[in-house]
Amino acid sequence: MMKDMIPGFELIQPTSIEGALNLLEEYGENGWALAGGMDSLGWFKNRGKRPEAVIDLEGLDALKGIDETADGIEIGALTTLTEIELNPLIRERFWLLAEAASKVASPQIRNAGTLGGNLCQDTRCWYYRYGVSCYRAGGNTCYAAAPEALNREHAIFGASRCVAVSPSDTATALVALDAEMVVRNSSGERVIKAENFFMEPAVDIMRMTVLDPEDLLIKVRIPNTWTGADFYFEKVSDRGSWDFPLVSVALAIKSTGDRIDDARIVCGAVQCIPRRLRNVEAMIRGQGRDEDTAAQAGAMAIQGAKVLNYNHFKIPLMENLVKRAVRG
Amino acid sequence: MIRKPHKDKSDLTLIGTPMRKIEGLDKATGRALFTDDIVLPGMLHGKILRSPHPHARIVAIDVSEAEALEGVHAVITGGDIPIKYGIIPWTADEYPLCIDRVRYIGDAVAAVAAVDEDLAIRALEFIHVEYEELPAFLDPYESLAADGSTPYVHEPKKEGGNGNVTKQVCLEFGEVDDVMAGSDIVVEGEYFFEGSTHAAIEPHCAIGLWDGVGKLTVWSATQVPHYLHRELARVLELDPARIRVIQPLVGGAFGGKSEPFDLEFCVAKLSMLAARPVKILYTREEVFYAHRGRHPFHMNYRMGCTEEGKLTSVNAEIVLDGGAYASFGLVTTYYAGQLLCAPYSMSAYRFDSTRVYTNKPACGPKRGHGSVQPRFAFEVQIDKLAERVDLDPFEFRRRNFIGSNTRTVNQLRITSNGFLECLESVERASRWRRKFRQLPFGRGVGVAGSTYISGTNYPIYPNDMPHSGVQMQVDRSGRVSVFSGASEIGQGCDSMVAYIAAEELGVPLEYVRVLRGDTDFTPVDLGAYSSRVTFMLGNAAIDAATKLREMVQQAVAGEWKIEANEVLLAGGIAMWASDTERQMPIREAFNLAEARFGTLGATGWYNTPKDVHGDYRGGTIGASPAYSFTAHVAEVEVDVETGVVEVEKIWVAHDCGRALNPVLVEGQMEGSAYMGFGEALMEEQIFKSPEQGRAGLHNAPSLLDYRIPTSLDTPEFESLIVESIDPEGPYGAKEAGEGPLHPSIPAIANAIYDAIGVRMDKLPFSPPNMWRAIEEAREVGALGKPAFPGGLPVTPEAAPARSMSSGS
Amino acid sequence: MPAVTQIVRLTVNGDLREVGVPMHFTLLEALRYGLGLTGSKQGCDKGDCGACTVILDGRPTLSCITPVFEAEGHAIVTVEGLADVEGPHPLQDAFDLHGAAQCGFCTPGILCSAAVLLEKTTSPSRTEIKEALSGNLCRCTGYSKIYDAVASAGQRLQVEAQLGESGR
Repeated sequence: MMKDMIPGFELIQPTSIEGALNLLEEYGENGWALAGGMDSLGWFKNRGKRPEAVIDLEGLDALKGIDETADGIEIGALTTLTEIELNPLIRERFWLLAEAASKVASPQIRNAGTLGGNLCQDTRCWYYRYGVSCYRAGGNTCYAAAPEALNREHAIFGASRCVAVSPSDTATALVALDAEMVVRNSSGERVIKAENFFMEPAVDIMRMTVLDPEDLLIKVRIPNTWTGADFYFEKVSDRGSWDFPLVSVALAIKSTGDRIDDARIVCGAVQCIPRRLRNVEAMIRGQGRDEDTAAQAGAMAIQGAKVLNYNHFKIPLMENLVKRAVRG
Repeated sequence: MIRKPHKDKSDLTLIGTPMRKIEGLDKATGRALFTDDIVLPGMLHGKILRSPHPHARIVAIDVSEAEALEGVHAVITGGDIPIKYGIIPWTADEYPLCIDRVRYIGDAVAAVAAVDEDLAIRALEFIHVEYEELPAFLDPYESLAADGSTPYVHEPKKEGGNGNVTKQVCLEFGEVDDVMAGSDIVVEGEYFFEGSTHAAIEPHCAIGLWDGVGKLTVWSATQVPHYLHRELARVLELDPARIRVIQPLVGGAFGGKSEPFDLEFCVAKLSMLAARPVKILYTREEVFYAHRGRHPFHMNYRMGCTEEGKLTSVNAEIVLDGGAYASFGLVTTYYAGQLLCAPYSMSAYRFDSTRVYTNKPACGPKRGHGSVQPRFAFEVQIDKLAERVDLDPFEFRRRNFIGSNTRTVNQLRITSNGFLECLESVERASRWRRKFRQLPFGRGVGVAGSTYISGTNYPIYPNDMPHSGVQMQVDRSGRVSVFSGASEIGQGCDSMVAYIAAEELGVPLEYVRVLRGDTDFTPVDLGAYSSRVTFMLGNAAIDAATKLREMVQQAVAGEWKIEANEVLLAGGIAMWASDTERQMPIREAFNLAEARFGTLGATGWYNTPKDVHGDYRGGTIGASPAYSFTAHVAEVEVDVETGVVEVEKIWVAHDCGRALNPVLVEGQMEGSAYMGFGEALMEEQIFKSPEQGRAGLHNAPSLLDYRIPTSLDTPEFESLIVESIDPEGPYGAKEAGEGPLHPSIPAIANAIYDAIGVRMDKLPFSPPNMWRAIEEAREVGALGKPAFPGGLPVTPEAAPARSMSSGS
Repeated sequence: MPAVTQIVRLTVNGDLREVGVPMHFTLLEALRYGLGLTGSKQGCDKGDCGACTVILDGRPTLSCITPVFEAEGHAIVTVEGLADVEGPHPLQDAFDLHGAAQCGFCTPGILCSAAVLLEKTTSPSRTEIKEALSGNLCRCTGYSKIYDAVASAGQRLQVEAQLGESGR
């Protein structure tokens, strides 16, 4: 409490991806991969995290930029959110991601904040951020799930001991676009579907993504599958800027005439991972894109939602956002 | 006091025109110096260790390890400064560092001074404090109900009393119950105003410099250098004549810097022990815990009126959640009731207001001290009454207008009053008559009015001396120097005295220097609080300038062999009124005057009227030399699918008496309306209850989580200045810095009702809270457009009553 | 023991400066404490208020959450670098004229964001101005006067550009 200066650390600035991976392996839990620093520095200043070594990725130019490939595009993990927001290729093919990126935080944060950082940022649960000994911090309770707890931002789905939610705006868009994450460590590379990249507390309560301490998110691939689809993105938050979603929705949808051929629909800030609504997707396939389908989609989206003390509003909010998205 | 009538606008050359601020360009170029921008040779950095417990006994403190660290120059604890401080002399209840008990998470326990900030932070980890935790009071009603079985937050003042009660005030004017019983309509409502904080962008900062032989200098981002000066002397047991308080420019305050804080005493004491200058800069988190912001108010209002819409009786019961210390709480408890008796007349009024201590950071004054919360409840009640008697809310307000040159039900003296003009301005500008109850479902307009003081007639510590003083001197170069002790916190008071000096002495604005913010060379001004500065400092400046001007006029008149009052000073020249071709540069006029009268200087001062308040205990509280009046119309759009309220525009009409510089007045009006808007929609200073995880812990001590409006949230404002030309104000001016905040919140609440038929009696109107209210209204079938008073309006856009549309 | 410092080379307002700071310093700390450039302000120190905004390679950047080592090799402009020998930047003059700076604490950061906007367009719409300033909190003004100032500075830049062209 009451601290806002970063304690000392060892700074290491690798110049190659291999060098960075070796350092991550060497330092393990005691190392910290630093991208734009927009979330990291808050952790350091609050002294919630005190890494021994900070591994600065700034010098890794290979992780920056947006490239067209045979079947889609690749975005380096260190590409800034502003670049994504303004990139003509992304705007033309994957407007959903550009729009989501444009809704992150503030202009300054988008200028320095990276795609990788936005995807890998930690949850905003204030109990956890404050540094209480909760499940996610290695303790044995969840303060936010207590009967009287202040939990208006917390989960209505998929809670398992921890009720924190995924705060990332770009994550919902990338799951909707069926993106893939390319992850590397010193022993090799693996490709993970965006949908499987985020970690549920039931599996590992102390991580937000599948990344191990020695892993590095290298790039994100977006296939052309959804190029030309209709997109819808909406984020409801307390403030018009510089805020996290209370609920958000990302939709990619293809129709022939009025008939829905296929769709992927994802909600943010309702679960610890971006929540893909498979049942809704299946239900609306083949239906007309109209008020009726939209209403059914909304109703189905919230099935099974469980409320905490202060987040009842998220259920109707989610229902209405899904409805709007499907209605278009 | 015999007063000359104010000059007409046509006789004024600068006053009333748009002017730049004297420090405007410094602020736009980064040259302006704030406290944290100051670095002194050999300066150490201080840090304060704070309590992790909301309520605990301090059993033992061991600082020996911290003291032993290389680079640590001083460590202090409560025993080093064992005298209590407090802004109100009767309720000093805080030690700079706690001695035997901590009363909120964040209460100061020890302080260190070290060679750099890193080390100072690290040194805190080497201070070992043993606490014995005590049960904490987080809920004001639990505080009220306490029976002494666990320690009160403070010791009771009387044997057997409840030590958790700071102050209770119950005042009745007229026969409230009888009049209420005879009223045609009575509306009762429960209201809750969540606390909010100032969130000035500059954190508190102070530097102490002890010269080793008895003189102490303290630089501080304070808005009350004079009271700080007094408290430093008393608490540190130093001769006040050997203390100097310097106030650099202040980066926003809003009431959050209007009393002494722990850091000012700590930098002074640490500097005395270390024999080096010491700086402490609060972290943003510390600012949130230092707080002194708006009290949470639990309010019950019962109000009656006649069928014709005449307000009859008002009964208010208010519980103020005060936090751990008294701060300004004594005054707040009175203001909660005293400032509500205008701009409407009522025949009977009673308020019962109780402030209790809780184990949370102390609440205090925030812009619109004590009266923003009850004004919210009151103006929503008015809206409800108007609807019950089938009147347009503007018409209801007009019918109850109190008038000018009158007394309120609680005997406060009202002089100038431009409230009707305010109402007319916003009604016309907002095109109210084409909108009220006629916009489509989801869109609405709301109106509210208010009044506020232009300073208080009685100072915080009893004395008969002036409230504000100014010293002025003219130089042979033509320059005018103004020595002003007033507190420039962004509102423009340094510029204001410069405008007055330039106006009265006829020099260009660039010829005026304002030497400010230093108790060593400026006369006393009591500080930037209670919207007192323009009124009091302005009058003091006119007083000083007039004395100088008369000397200059006499000297020139002697030279030209004419009458002194025929000499005009304006635009850098002295001229003869009857023949304006006859003139001389102002410099020559000054030189003539200096030759005749000797070195030219004058002091001016202002003191308040003392015989214009009610003759009852507390009747002096709320008494002001003049009252400002405000009316707002807010237009909102409510998205019933998301609970998001968008305030599109607020029309702000404010009676400021006279706008000395309309640019600055508009800035105050817009800034005030913005701040009220933020409280209405998003701001919440919440501390967790025991059930909510960590008792007494601030829920969101950052500017990310404590949301204040960004540019994308803030509505458009239209400022409509109303000038009632107050008989006692400087050129007729009254306050503009706090009054225009009040109506924002009820105007928005009333607009939400107009939009969707949902009453918001609890703040804030955030998506989650809106959703709860919308759902409740939906369940009872109340969601929809309320009915137009007196049947359907005859306009094409008319929407039928209760026309449901939401599509959900 | 005080912190161990290292030399960092920063290009600030056109000057290449060397400054000895601990490696865990932020750019803001290096500017304010290392170089004495106190125009950039610390309001929250967590990237939550925008008072520390500087221009890094032409982009508004939060210097309080930018590690100083990340700023090496980049061009930094602070509020002190906006004016030139001709006088204040039109934005600075407009802020003064329109009363856009009340307490003035957020002003340096806002000027940096606004200056970048006016580099892109000298005739921004009100919405564009609001978007560009949506990462700078102002607690005094309600923003209105700030929008007016930015718009009028843009107009002046336009006029200056036209005069400059016709003069050629």
